[in-house]
Amino acid sequence: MKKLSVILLASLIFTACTGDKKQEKELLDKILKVHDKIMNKDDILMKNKMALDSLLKLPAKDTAEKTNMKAVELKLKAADEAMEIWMHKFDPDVMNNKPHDEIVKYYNDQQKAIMSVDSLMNAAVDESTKYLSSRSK
Amino acid sequence: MKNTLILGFAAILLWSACKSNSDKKALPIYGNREPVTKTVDGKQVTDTIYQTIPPFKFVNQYGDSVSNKTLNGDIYVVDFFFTTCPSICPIMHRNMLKVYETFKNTGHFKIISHTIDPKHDSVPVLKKYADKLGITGNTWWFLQGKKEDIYTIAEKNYLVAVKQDSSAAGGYIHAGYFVLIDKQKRIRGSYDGTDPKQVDQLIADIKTLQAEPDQMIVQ
Repeated sequence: MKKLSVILLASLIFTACTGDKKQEKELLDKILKVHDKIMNKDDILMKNKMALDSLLKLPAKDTAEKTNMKAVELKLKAADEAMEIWMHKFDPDVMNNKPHDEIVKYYNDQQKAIMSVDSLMNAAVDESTKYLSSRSK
Repeated sequence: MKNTLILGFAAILLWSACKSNSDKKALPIYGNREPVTKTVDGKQVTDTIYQTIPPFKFVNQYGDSVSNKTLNGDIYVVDFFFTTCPSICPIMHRNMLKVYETFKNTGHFKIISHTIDPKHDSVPVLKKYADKLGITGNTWWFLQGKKEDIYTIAEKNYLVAVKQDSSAAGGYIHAGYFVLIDKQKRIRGSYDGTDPKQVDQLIADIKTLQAEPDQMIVQ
């Protein structure tokens, strides 16, 4: 009887642990999905940034226009840098062998951080795309 | 009688050997192409000029400069990655190791991996990354350069074939492609570097390219 309860307890702990691991993996996958989405957007960001950089190199006809252009370009740069900062700091390995609660907290915080990079990126890319297409008309 | 039989046998053998050789499909040539008409010996000849990789200059994990000239006469595979990439890059480079192990001793073959995060991935960082993968010698180079230059060469050159095949806009540099370049610097294939089956195909295609007769090599 005692043996049975030991087995029961062990299997309970075991299922709890696999549940924990599953949750951690789901949280990590969610972060990586956003990460890959941002990295894909980074292509468009660089393309727009290079287009703006070459426009900025042209002699200024309209200074107000140039200031506007510079502002659009700066937002792209800021979004790119925000992504780099996140990327360099994020390291799932630092959580190895840490308690489950701590891992969940780390991933939740990272999720929040990357979501804010994502919205920064989307706004900057959308604005620059709109700006560039209005100029090419 | 016996002699004729042997001769006949030998002829069949030879024929089938030649046949299997010509059955081997030549790899397609990707990118833009334009016909040029020139006059050779008083006759009009139309030739096709294929898109080739333009001049570039980057630095490898040893701090040595690597240019298009360094790769003259080499078949090479290109990819784009960064050392802190938590998602697809570790899978890509696990697969690339197989390519490296297969060809590291054959000569006239290179792998070049461009970091798309040059601010973080300095030469020492790239060297450490290469060491961790167990890469030595000069078969596999990890290249660093200006982010703008890397994106331009990716977009306008290495990934044009990928773009021709796909209808989706943007987002190729981080899609994990391996691109195969021949000795004449023409694009001969692109493969999903995260898919072991496609990487096996890449290895087979490199062997096909190595068997291709050398034509005029672009200098």
